[in-house]
Amino acid sequence: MRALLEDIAAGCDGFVELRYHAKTFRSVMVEQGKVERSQVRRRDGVGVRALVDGTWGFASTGDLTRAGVQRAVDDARRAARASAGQRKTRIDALASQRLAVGSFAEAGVEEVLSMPLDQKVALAVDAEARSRKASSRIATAQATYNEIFEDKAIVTTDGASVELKLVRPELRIFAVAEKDGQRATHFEGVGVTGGWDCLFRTPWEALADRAAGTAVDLLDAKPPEGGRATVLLAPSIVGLLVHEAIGHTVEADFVLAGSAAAGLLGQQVASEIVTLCDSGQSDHMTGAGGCLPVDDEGVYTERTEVIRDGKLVSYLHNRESAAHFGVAPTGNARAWEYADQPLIRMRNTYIAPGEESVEAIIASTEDGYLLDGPRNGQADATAEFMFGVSTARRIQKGKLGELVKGVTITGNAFEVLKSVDAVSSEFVWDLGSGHCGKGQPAKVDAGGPYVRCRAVLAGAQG
Amino acid sequence: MSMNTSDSAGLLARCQEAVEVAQKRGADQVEVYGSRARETEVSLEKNDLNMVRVVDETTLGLRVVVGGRVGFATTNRAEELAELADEALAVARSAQPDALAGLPEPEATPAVTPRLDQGLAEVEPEALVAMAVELMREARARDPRLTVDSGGVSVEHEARAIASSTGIAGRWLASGASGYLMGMAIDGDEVGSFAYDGDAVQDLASLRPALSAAFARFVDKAVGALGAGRGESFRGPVFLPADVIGGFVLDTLVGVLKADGVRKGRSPMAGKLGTNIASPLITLTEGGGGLPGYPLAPFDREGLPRRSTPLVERGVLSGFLYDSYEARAAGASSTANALGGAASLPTLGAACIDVAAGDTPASELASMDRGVIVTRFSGTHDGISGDFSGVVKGGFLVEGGERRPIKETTISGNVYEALKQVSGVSRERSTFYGTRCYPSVRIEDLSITAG
Repeated sequence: MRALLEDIAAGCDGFVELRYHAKTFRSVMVEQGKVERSQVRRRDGVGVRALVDGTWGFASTGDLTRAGVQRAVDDARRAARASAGQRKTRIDALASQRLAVGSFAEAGVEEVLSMPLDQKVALAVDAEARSRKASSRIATAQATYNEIFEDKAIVTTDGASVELKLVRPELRIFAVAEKDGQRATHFEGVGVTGGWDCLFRTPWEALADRAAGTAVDLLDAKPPEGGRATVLLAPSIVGLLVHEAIGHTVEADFVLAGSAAAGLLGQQVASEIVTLCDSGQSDHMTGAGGCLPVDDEGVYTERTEVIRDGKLVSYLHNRESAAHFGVAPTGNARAWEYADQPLIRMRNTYIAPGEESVEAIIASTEDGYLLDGPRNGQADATAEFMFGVSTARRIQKGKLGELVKGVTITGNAFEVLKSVDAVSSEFVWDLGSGHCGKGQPAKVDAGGPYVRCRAVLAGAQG
Repeated sequence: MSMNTSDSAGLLARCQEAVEVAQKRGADQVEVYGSRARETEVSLEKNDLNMVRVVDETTLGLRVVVGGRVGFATTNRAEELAELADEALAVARSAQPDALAGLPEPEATPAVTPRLDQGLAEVEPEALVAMAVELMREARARDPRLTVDSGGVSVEHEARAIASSTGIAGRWLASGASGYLMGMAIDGDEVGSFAYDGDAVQDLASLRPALSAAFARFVDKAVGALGAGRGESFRGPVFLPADVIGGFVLDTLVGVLKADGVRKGRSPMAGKLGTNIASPLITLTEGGGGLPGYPLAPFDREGLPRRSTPLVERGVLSGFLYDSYEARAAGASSTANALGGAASLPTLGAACIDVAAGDTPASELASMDRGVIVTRFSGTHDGISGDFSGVVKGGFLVEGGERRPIKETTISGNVYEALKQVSGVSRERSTFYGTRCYPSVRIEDLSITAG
């Protein structure tokens, strides 16, 4: 396919980007010992972006013949011309550093694709059964095995030309506990870029036990008191914080629309012990769920330091925004499927580990909560965030205490990062299952060490 | 750009051909759902036009039953029927047998002629671009502090068809247009909360007025969030406008009225049919063939005729949502609530929801001695336990007849308790995206916490 795209690109006037993108999504969901849903979805085609008179046009086709792709090129150019008269800010140039050429494959592709379907079904069946049988209090459990395989070829008229293959398996386990008519739920999930061993860096049995055990424990948990509190964020919640509340505000398209990070380059936005990165690779630990060697504009990905020692030092860029800011693109342009245009998206976002152990941090905490288990998260233009947290464990006088019900925490991300006074040496990727949404889904990961800071808990009043 | 009956007829013929192919390759039962969609989308970004995107795609989704095992495969390569059938059969053979597995028998479906708007059929990308840009400029002119992060206006034409080995055969054509804006107000160093609004229509003449109204609401929300100060902590009433009440209270309730959750023991509504689950002010109906002015396809994702289903009548639980499988499992009739497109297995859910109006003006409900008006809720809501907690975005504290914007204020409680604490339902209702018609409500005694 790459050769055909190169051939077509060679005959194009002006800038054209052609992306062949095949995606196979396989999913098996088991509930109460029964395979509830098992399906496979294949979708492939070519997405074409054309830059005409300083304006973008996009078209896509599932017709992979030369004539079909050429028609999509013509449609994209026509779409660009349709809007040329209305666009206020013309795109003069695209940053052209770091354009990639070559073939790339992430680990695990052959292993996962060649594995019999029966084995994947058995995994979901066994994981659900283990979680369901873990306690008589478990009313129902659900296990889902998902797998995304991607095969791409990306060619641009200014020199990028790549082929790329990767696979992202994930396992998600959900348990519902019940006692005296009251219900509590807990979810555990893992998602990686890589093979089977990578997926089970945490054994699936442990995930199943944790999903059930936590749901049962939450049956007797009371809601916490609301208000501002000291919180020790587990890596999963650190991941939510850096992805939702910081990461989105430093996406350059959002910066240009006026996000809270606009105009803050070079300024102290976090505690000096905070270094925050977004990386196309799996730094510090293997298997991060958002790895990709080359982005969907054909740019090599990199490890981008966004905050270094508390100072904001970079935004996340595609080729257009990089040219606007006069920097090199960071490899953050990503499209979900062939019929989607590339947007600025995160990859693997994290706070770099520190030197203290989590035990030492707990021991030095007078009064607070250890928060773990992300339910959901949203952030605002203001960097104000909201995270649903599954479990909160009280810390008093340096010791872990009672479990309280999951909470919602909120605050301004930059203020929260400024309040960070401890960063642990342990590091975990913990947001690799599920998706980030920004018009299109994207597979990302996030995580980091344990981080102590101040935030607001939504709790019960009187 | 537009589609006509030959598109849906051709698609149905392709679905029927796929049924035959899969049967010949070993399937006991086969269902094929097809869609062909053509979309032109104008996207807005950073207060400017971003790009025009055109998409034209055909998708087939094939469900097979073989030896009581179910498999599903989908592709956008409508020419590869044998490969599609083999893939679905392979998936089925790896599943376990299920005595209840099977496809529904056909039922008489009322003949409904699709109402295709000529205006949407003929609109050119240039005209759509001009409209999107004008609407964005019009919104920004309402207040210079407004900034648009993203937005869009799109027109879509879709043909759908379904065929099965049990004799189901249906086809439908639909056209629609929609638009939205997302952004915030910026005043000096102050950046306000995100705001969002949009709407969907089925004819070109309605598009501009509908989006103009939606974008005006967007501006009001964005600008209203500026100048927010600290809230207060107390238990008290909360006013939820029509565009907020669905987001967590009503959608959470509808989510647990699906028969699969009842069967699997997940739904807290199991065993509560005929009992009071909400304030007597709440009456909620699944709208079957669509809300007035917004017709849906006359058949559901399994090809069964859509019908209206009362779910809550004056606070009493009166029904659940069924597809054909859940109906067999419960010994009930399908309520034709199989949803979805060709790209995945049917799922169970409400295609449209109609909540009855009350008799109190919304302005009266929002007038509280001491309470909070929520213009956006950003939080967590768990349908199984009913617990919710989250942040009030762009909200207002009402005290002694005065209102002031607040920030970092959270509300928490339990959805099912909150439904019983509804003290007022507005006489005004709003329709969202043609599939949800909600009034505004006031709920008493929620926990409100200032940050």
